[in-house]
Amino acid sequence: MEYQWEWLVVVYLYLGGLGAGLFVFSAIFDFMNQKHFEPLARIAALLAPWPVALGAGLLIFDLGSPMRFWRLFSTVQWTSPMSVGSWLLVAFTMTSGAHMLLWARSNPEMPIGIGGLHLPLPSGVRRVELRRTFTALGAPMGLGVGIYTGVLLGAVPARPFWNTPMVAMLFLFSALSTAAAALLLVSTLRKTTVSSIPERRLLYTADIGIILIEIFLIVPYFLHNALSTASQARSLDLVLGGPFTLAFWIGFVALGLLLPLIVEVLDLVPLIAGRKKASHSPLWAYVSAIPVLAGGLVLRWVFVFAGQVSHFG
Amino acid sequence: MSTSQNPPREGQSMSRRSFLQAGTFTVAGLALASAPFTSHLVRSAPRPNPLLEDQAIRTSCGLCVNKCGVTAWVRDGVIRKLDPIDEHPKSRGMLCARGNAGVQALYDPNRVKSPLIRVGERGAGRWRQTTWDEALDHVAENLLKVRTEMGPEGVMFSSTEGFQEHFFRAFAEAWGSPNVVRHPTLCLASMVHGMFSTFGEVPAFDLRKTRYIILAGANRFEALVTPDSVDLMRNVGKRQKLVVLDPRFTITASKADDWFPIRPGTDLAFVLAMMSVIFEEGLQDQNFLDRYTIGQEALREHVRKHTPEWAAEETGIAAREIRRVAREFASAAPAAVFYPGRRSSWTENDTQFRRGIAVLNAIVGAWDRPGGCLPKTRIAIEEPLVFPPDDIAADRCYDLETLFPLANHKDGTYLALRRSILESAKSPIGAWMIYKQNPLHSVPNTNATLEMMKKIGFIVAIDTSPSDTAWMADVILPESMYLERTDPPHSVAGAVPVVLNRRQVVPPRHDTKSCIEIVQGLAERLGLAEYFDYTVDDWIEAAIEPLTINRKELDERGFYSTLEEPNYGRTLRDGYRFRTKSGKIELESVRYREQSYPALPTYVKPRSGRPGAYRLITGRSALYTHAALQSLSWLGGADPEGCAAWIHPKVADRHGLSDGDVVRVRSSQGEIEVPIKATPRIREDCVFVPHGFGSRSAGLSDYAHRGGRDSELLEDHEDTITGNAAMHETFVELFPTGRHIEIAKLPVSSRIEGGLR
Amino acid sequence: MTRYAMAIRTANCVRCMGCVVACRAENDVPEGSSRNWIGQTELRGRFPHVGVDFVPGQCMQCEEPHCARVCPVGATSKDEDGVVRIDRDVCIGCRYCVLACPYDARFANHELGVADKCDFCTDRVRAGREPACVQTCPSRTRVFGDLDDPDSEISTLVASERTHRKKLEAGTEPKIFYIDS
Repeated sequence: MEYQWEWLVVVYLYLGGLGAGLFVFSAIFDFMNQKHFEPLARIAALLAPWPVALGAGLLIFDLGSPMRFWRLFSTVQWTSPMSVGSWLLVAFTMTSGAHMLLWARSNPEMPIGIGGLHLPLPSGVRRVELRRTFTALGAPMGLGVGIYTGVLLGAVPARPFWNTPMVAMLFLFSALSTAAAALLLVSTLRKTTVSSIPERRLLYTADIGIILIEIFLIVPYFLHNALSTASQARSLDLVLGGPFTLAFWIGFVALGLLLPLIVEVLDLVPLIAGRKKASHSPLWAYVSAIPVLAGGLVLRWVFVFAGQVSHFG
Repeated sequence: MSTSQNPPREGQSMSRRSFLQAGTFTVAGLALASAPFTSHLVRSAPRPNPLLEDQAIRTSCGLCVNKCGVTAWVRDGVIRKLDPIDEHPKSRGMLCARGNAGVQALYDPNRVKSPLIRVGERGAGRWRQTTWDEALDHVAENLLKVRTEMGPEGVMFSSTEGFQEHFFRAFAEAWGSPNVVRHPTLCLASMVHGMFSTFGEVPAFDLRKTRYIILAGANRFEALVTPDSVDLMRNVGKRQKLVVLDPRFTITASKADDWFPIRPGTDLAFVLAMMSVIFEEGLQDQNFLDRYTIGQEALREHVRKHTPEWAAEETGIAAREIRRVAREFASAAPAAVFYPGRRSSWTENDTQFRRGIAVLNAIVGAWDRPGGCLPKTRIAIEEPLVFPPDDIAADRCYDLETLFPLANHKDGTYLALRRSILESAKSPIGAWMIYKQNPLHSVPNTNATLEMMKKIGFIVAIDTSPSDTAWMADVILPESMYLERTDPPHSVAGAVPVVLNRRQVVPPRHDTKSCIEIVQGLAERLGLAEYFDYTVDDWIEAAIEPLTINRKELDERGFYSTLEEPNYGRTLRDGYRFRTKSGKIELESVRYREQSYPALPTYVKPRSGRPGAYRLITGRSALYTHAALQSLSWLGGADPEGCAAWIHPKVADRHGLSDGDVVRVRSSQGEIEVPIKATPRIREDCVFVPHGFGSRSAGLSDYAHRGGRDSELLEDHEDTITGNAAMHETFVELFPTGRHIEIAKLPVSSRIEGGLR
Repeated sequence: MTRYAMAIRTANCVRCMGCVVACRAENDVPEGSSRNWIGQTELRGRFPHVGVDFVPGQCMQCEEPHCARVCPVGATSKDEDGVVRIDRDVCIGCRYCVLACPYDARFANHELGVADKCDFCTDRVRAGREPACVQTCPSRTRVFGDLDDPDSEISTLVASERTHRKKLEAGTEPKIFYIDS
């Protein structure tokens, strides 16, 4: 059977999760209310809408009849994860867009694209409060988008490889992990904020936690499938000796989870212990961030393609 | 590339679709333009049903010999769909895969669209499109040249059955050539002879009521779908027992209660042993034998030595199984049939085998009774115009009367005719007119046929598609397809006889003509016009004169029949004379004795091959008509494995081959390269090469180019009595080529299921 | 009410492909795709005691169709006559339904940019004719009819013969009944 969903969908799910994760981090950093995390919160906010919007564009481009995409928004089909997800995506894109614009004013010298844009507000409206309203609105949406990318797959009983709630969880945490990695990468690339120790410590800590959660989600994913229907148990063969084994275990687990985990732990421990000065070499950040970003893509590739091969019955 | 797997080239297969959709595009365009303003809730609004506007025209299918009843649904002058005629007495409301693909065949871009005259080397595929006038002038000129040099007998005519074949044959007669050869000696001549020499006719089989049926190699479910297949299919598993003897586990075998992978060429041993058991145990219908047959004593004596133990040695089937089948068969009789098969071109002793079958059916009295062999009747229609009056004076270029004194001389024998041309220093044939035939595939030993073609100066092919043979011709005269023609009605004999009607559904799409128009065009140029001074309409009016139906009613119904059920027992009444020499059913053939042929069915051990050689067996798929229609994507695309040669897994191991590996199959006469399929569905000592693949004509799509031509391997053996080509007498060797192609890739329409539930 | 369904006598099927080609012709199915198919079981047993079955399949016209459930635009729905249909004017071609079908009975029609599948030949049935696959079948493998009509052949068959339906554990309540023999 031919694959129905291919690279465009893989990238779409990836970008959707990434954007959602960025927004969630922006919200977290913002509400931490610490001055030295504000640049991170701002970068995350300024980045968040773009991957989602791009991903949605890819999705439309992938349709058999792209000119009819508007029909998605002429109806709400409550039983269809795609319908609910599409609405969620629109709401999130708009919210995160507004959120971005409100952040943009806060730092006119921000070089990142829209950073210099000035959004005039009516007098009497306080920018920070308005922004935080959008942050509060957008954060649950971001979590929703992150979960949705997995629910889209998980809600299909016909594809046993997908058909467990663990997929949604795995996709959500992978989304957060890639967002943390993206922030690490961007903050490292940007000289002005490069590797401030608290930033790095924060991002490392977050990422280590998320990676550990991911690892502990993989275990129940396998258990759940192995102990569920025969088709689900059989579907695991795809990554246990089947054609997706290498991609899953080497591409995702080893390179996307374990390698960055080790790098981050090795880099973080001295930072926490304060035994040495923070290294200003960006190498460590790259070595952990890039594999995480790549691993997230591999995870989605494996799931999107392997799921379509798995058959019910 | 004989093993090409590429799908047909872009744009070769979409023509009818683009036809039908030409109208829809504008409508769709408008719909798209207005789409944003319509809510999808509009969908529940009732939609007009386009099918109700379609015009229904009834006709007869023309893609195989069976001529099933077809309703063509026409919209805006384009045939949209072909459906079966439900109440049709012959086709019983069915239309097979290729019948359904008739639409695609009609709109196939690979058809020959105008007369073509060769300009390059023969077979190089360089043609000049021309007008009918020029093409017919050209043909007439060449025929006249041959007549001047060699007489009318210098032109050979060969053809295959069809509603308009009559005109082609009439033309050969008017022209005055005795060198006429038809298809039976590539097909069923030996079966016809076996039945005829026993019963005086070829019976039908009452398969709806049969309780026990034995098929020996007759692959009724896989190789062709005709009324007999339909009756069997619908009875599978019900009150019927089906026994199949076949070296392959065919689809037919898969439906059998018993499948015996018999050693090829030994079927007569099985038949004789059944007879010996039946006589030994007194299971014969003694009354029937006494009253209607001659030769029972001689037969009884003859089969005595053919014990099941003897037959087990020959056939590889256990003696107790032979005994059991014989007893079951006899106890089911007269509702029992040992089926004689259709394409009976197997061995050099084939007629004896088919006679054995006839005799076996006779000794249990399975004749003219419900569930047995049934004599056929025919609805009399007029053959309005008989000509020409004079007998043909010239002699054949080969001595058919001496070679095969009992053969049907009107049909000629293909191999003997070819041999005579090849063996003469100067070819006795100067021109060859071929109608609806593809000898490069259908006649064994393609290399010999090509040699023969080299000796013939002028070759004309009348065909609908650029077959391999047409591709090697000097002129191609494109015939209109069956859906584009009105043909003379055909009266088909059977247990339930029927008159079939074929009527034009759409006008010819291209610059093509029907056979009668081609013949008339030539006749006019050759001074033979007087023999063809009628129209098809005149013919039809005259033909149906005796029927209680007029032309309009016949066109509306699509067929004419008088009986619903067979009339049993007509030949069992006192005073009936069978059309044999003795007037009885001849267990011992009088004519055979006169000609010093064994008068009782006599077994000959099959030849064996060199060590390391396998017996080549060949067969057809009902998706195609011999070597035609493979080109169509609807059929070829549904059958990716169809071109593969079958070998047993042990044989595959021996040669280090696995599925999709391309193997060179070599016989004494030629070699081909085909992908293999290793399957336990075939005997270890056989290689199966499906017929009709591996076409070379570049005018066909790549679906037709897949695999190889079985005919290139087949040696020219022939049945001793009829001259029927013997196609299972060749041994081949296998040589791996090291190449591999993906054949295992199943199309969407045929998946492997995990199990029944 | 009407509830169209089909019974399939697997024992009759000889895989002649008549139904597959008839469907293609009737419904203008693009090459490379097919609305119906004839599955083949693996060979059972050892030579010469082997067996194989041919199992026709197509959209099962489920009572609880997953394809309709996941459609984001409501293009697929089960009609009052029990047939699951795709509105080609509404479908956006996301192929979610193709993936959601436990029977793999759907495909993307790339020529039209929409999902495609068997609809029991809607127009033919509304014109009083049988679906193309049913009418053309030489072996009378298929029986089409109304389950809610107690006198229909299919109701009689489903009531009297031992039948099974495929992948019931998917919970879609398919309406193609395979007759065991």
